[in-house]
Amino acid sequence: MPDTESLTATTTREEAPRTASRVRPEKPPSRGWIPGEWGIWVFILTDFSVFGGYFGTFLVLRGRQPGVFRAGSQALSPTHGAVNTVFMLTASLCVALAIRSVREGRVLTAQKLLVGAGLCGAAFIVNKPIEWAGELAAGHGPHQSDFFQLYYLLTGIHLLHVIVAMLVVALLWRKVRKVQVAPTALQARYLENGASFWHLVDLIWMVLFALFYLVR
Amino acid sequence: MTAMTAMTVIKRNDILVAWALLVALTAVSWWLGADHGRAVAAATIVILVLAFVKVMVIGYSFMELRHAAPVLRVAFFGLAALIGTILVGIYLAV
Repeated sequence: MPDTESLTATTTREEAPRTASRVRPEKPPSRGWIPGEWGIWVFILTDFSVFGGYFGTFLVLRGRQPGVFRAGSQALSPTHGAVNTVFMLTASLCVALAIRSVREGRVLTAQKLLVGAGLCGAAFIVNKPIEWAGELAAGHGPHQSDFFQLYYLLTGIHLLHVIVAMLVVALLWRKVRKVQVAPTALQARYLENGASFWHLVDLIWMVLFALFYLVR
Repeated sequence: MTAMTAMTVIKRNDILVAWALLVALTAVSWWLGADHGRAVAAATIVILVLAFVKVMVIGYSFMELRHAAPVLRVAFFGLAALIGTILVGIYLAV
């Protein structure tokens, strides 16, 4: 099988500035450039705002029942949460590097990085139910307290986001395969939309980790 | 091969630098979250602020907002700052 990366490498250096100048943020064409399109950003900002409401609800209830929330938080493993945080961050790193690679015409590298993102996402998805099972076995079910009700609800909604993000990464992998030399404007928009969604899922977890595992 | 300055290396690896910063901030938060007995409220406020600093680093670097239209940057960073401030306010008030 020929190494397509080495075959495209020569042409990439010559053609990338011309074909990709519209889509390379390293040299944005104008002040009006955005990653992906406005629709995805309306969704991202709306979804983050909805989670903002959940975060606020958590802290209001925590203020009313500090003992219950403190006990709940102490029943969780911050180390487990931190490991999941590193999985999320590493998946985001892979997605961001994949977008950069595909812009430079390094399609195989981009695909490998997307597989890496998928593996990190899978590790998160496997880890979460294991963590839940441990808490349920210790008697910390969703009906035990408002803390655990919110914990299962919000980490569950977030897990659904991760599962959707995994499907998005699979779609990006297929899309990247069709890129020649550098993505067209349409391909770039599609890739950036998907990547931005993945990073949204990542950043929501940053706040969930702080609230449930670390706030005392 | 041309010798690269430190700044060039950082610029070329800015996404990796952002990831390392995010992991380091996670480690600091994790350490602060462990019970040290004193200054619990101060530690919690720092943990909340660091969580939103991480949100902003993800936006700035991974989401490429450093290159984005000013209106989108204002919307994203403004929203993150607003939610973070409200959460710290709720923590202090209730």
